Amino acid sequence: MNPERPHFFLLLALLGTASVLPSTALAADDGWGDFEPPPQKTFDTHVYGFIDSYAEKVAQTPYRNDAGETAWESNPYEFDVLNFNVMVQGSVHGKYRYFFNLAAPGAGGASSDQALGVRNAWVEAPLAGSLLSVRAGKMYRRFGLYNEVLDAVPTFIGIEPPELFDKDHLMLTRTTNLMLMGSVPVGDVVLNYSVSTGNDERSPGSIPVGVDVFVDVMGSIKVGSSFYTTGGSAGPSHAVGDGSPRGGVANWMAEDNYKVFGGYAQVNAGGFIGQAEFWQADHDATRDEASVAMLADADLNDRQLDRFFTGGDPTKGPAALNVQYSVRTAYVRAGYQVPIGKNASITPYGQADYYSNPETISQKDFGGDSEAGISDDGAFFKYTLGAVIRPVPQVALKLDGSAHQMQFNGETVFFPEARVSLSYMWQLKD
Amino acid sequence: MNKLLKLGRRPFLAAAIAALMLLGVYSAAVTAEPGSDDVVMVLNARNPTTELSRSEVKSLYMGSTSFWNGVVPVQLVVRTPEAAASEAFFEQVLGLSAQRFDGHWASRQLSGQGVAPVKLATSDEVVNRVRSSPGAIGFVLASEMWEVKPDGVRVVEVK
Repeated sequence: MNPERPHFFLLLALLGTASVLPSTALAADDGWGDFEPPPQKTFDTHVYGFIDSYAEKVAQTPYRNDAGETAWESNPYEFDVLNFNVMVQGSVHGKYRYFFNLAAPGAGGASSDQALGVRNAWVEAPLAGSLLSVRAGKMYRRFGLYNEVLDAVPTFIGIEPPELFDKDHLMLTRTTNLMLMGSVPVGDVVLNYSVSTGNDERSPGSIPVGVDVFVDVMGSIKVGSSFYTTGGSAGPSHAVGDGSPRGGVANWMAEDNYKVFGGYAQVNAGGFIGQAEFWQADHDATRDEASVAMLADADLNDRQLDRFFTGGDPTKGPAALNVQYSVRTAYVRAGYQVPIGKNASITPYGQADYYSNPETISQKDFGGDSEAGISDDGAFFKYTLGAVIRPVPQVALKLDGSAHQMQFNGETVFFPEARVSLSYMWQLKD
Repeated sequence: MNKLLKLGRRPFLAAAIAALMLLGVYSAAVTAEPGSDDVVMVLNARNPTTELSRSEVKSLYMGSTSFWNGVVPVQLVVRTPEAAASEAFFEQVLGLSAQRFDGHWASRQLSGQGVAPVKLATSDEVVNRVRSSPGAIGFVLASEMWEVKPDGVRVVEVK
């Protein structure tokens, strides 16, 4: 036990006490009388998963040639198995839920595929029926419309990952380790809430906290807000040169204290679905001088040189090490599912994203991204049109195309990309 | 284009405008209250619930409400697409297509938020399933209830 975090362990102790209270204590007054569930199987287990194969072609991306003019370079086709997932979900004595999700991301690479990873492994126990449950293990935190479902739905729902959780520029970590959550029905409205904490990106002594609250009106309207704070200083997950960070702290930071907040809304009416989200991350960070020096080799543009180095000249040393900056993103999306017969459907959809990060750079290896990082001002728009075709509920074919719009080398440029993915969802018979 | 760029630099305003547009589309898309006389809900006889509104049924079937009275876990039963009750239920009560319902539960199941409802073909199977599970809820056409033994279940109209 770490004596530096008494609050954390006090919380755990309270949860441990609460978990042994009988959650059926409310039953006496609600009409179920002496309700006693009949004997149930000790384990109720469902085994299922999905495979998501994918191909992408970015037509051309801009670069500045030696003459200082905008030029274009071609990009290769990318093939991948974005997701190969095995999931197990079930309950113990009909009461304690569990879920784990084993994934092999990037399994399509002949030489770069990754080992099988544990994306989720958690157990959940009700403390007071639907009013309060506790979930412990490794889990996606509740945050906005998509964090919990993002891996599962690129093809089935037909959405490009919102920039908030784009793996090249995550605004916060996706997973956490302890979550309290519940819901209260009030007429036609269900109020849902959750609080989470975990290892995240924290430094010793920090307690990161995530909060999510939303109302659900008959499954038709969902409106909510989420908040996250590192609760003190946080460190980067990756060093400069080791690739994209796994959270909101840039690779070249010594420490960062940041908060993310925003709101979201979703409307379902018949076959129509509309969604909108807005997020802002406010950073108060200290750069690591040695890491910043390494950025001299990161092919920075003029604005980035000025931001990181005195007078824009790497030989004159780093600019200010203490920085405050904000990252912002928003998107709107609309789709309409058209049923075809009893089982099939087609869902055309459109989506517009905006993302802005003044602190990012272009080189992914250094911890940047190849979107905001290549623009003059660290911002871009992305417009997407596509369709998901589902011949049967278990199979989905997604075809879509996007166009990035940004300021590059003093002019507005567009560059398109096209994607196709095919998903198959499987389930062992119960 | 410049206006779009300016709007993008005011994301709060852009998000507010987008939310208003979504609500506008929603109110235009919602149609008049459909009748639901043909579909009745089947509950276990030990379930004290005697009335269910359309919104309560929708909340149960979309997974927004997962416990009866906050206590007993809800177990959903639906019909296979070929059953006449299935079409009536999805269109009249839930107000969405069976395909959309399947997609909704696929997302929930793939993210650990619950297991997709059991699909049963006949009213007999539905009644038997509900009879054996206190938290179960299913649906049949009212006319189908004449063909099954109602012991151990309670039939509730959708108000």
